[in-house]
Amino acid sequence: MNVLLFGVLADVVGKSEIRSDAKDVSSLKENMFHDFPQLKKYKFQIAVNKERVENNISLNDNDEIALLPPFAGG
Amino acid sequence: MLSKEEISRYSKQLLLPEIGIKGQEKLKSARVLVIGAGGLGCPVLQYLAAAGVGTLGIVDFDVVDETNLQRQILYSTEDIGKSKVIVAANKISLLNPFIKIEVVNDKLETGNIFEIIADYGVAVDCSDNFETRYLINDACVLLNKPFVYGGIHKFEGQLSVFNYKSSDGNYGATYRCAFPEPHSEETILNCSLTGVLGTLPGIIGTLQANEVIKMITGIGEVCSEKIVLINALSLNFSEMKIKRNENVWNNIPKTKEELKNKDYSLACLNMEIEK
Repeated sequence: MNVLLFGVLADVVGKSEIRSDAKDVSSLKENMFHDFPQLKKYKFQIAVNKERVENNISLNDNDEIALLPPFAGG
Repeated sequence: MLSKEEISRYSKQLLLPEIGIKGQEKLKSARVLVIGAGGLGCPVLQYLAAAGVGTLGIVDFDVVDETNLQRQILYSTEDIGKSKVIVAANKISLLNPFIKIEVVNDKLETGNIFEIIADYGVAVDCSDNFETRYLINDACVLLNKPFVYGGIHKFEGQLSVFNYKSSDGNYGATYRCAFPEPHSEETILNCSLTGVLGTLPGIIGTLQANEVIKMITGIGEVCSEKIVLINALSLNFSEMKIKRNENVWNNIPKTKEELKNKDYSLACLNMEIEK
């Protein structure tokens, strides 16, 4: 599945989109933190198919994931 | 009532049946507070003044800096060192002498926010830091006021209308529902060193003004319960749907008195989440 990265998260990872085969939201986060430990410092929300999720739902290959941090700038 | 001069000035808006005389009168009687007269605040002020919003409040404590001029298009080279609210008020009153402008040359804080916001129908969050953003959110929730959020980072922007009362009488998601916690001080320090494309706050600020006009005139669909995400490089528009989530509300003060005594420093905002 595609994982879209916004704002400072894209800066940290160096790309605005990566691929993942995580089975659920928790393992997605674990994998991301493993591959990009710097991400742990940032706060962000996770959206699955454009809906913000709070629980550990399972993921399918055709889901679109977005990791969204708040933007302070104005 | 609109004067002859106003009818002529706003004729292109009056020609839109969705706005017309009624909509224009609603704009004229509206009171909108713009918090921050920087990258986002400049286009918001210009478009709302031009559109004929009857009373515009401007809050900022800063002076114009040379590095602002690349994106804060209300200001000129000769304005460097001058108070932003004073210069902004002068410029927009030249743009539209038919509106009233109220300036607050002060930092928005727990001690003055209620007094400043109280008499306005809508607030526009054009601030540039998390402390002010959480403070605006909490005060607007306590006062049942909607506010239009805009945020920018390098080439990307975010837009939403928070705490918006829809026609069914229910209030929409708040800033804390979308972003329960700010980044830590360490990571924000890094962010403050990043640049921003000058047109980006122009795009996002214009969309904020657009939401204000929609809310006042009651046309279109207000950007509530979602954050719209815009990438100026790819020109991708995306969104994240969010719901009002009262679980995060323990952190919103229950009373004005409680808010006045709350510490909105980043360290405290981060800590309260971990509690």
